Amino acid sequence: MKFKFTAIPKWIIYTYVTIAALGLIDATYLTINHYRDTVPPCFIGSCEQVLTSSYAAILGIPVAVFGVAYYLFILVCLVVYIESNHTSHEVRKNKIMIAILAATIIGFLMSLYFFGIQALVIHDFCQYCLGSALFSTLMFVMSVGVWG
Amino acid sequence: MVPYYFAKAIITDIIEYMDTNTTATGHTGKMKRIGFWGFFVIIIALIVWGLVAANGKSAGSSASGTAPTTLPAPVTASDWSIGSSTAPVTIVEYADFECPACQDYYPILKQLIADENGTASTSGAGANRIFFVYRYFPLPQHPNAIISAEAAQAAGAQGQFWAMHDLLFANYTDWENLSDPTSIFLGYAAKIGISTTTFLADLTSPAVAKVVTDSYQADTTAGLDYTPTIFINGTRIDNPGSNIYAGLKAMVDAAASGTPPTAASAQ
Repeated sequence: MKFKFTAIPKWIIYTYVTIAALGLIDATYLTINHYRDTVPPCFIGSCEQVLTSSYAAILGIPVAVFGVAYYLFILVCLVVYIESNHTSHEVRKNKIMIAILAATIIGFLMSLYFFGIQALVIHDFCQYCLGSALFSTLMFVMSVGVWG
Repeated sequence: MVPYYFAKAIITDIIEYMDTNTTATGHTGKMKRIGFWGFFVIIIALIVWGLVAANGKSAGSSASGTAPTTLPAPVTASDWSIGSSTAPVTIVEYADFECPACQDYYPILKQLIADENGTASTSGAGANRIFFVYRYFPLPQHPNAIISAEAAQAAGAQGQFWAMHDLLFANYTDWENLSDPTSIFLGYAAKIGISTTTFLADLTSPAVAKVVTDSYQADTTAGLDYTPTIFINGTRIDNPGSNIYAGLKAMVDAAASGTPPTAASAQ
């Protein structure tokens, strides 16, 4: 299986890095709050309802921790991608873009699931979770988009 | 498997990059790139640190180390209680009707009290083992915490504190997000069968309000800082674990047999 992506403009890559960085900040912030047993201030919805619900952890691991791992993975991929700008790096860049695509598909599906949980089960939203859903949706769209 | 493969591939690539990167010409160029990403990491770390530091100031239901390990105020006749004061186990719960964790604990505590205080034949170990006390700790981040506590207190004035306590916890989704839950609370009063006129008068009376604000004052003065804070035989308990019922039951059994519960560890 051979994918071929179009040359990605620099500004798109750096926008991508910014989104992933925002996602990382969001997820890290929630993780720290989780382990300090605090609930961050919330201006939209009720963070407390969502973040202290039984859906906020999978197998005892807070969802925010998965978020940190996810955004870190994307960021590391992007850094390696940006730093691989020699002609001999084309195969590697291709591999990285496949990895990012795979990760963002999972990330997007997870976001969809958690959005559904907030909307249909908890009936409350948490701004940090909505933010993360937005970031992962944008990243998913962008990673699909680069395969134009 | 797939994440492992990618993680391994990426790490290999980073090492390879550090070794043989031909991107930047020469040693200085490589240092510049590393400096750039290092700066990026520092910025992210600073933003996270700033957010956490700002949040630390306004932290609400946080379990910090300041909560007292022993019951700050002895149980008196003015406390709302279930069971006999001579029962071997006294549980004091500081709670807020609008706190999600308290709402989670409500059916569990109710079940535990029913099981432990049932007849000898149902509980096996003997009846009436728990003396349960509820104290108000309305947290400021919950807009309806105070008025819901006042509703319980107002129902208590007509002898129906526990009926209101149960309705508030069982139906919290109906009132917690309302700008004024008075009409819902009036409905509960009617359901319980107490005088709604008296209930409404009590709900808005300064005397009832004072009971709740005095409780809150006493709680914060004592250093309580999270809900529900639970004391068993005068000792603050640790998190009972993922199975709250089993954890609490073990603590109650231990307390009933004369063993003091494990003191909550300072966090």
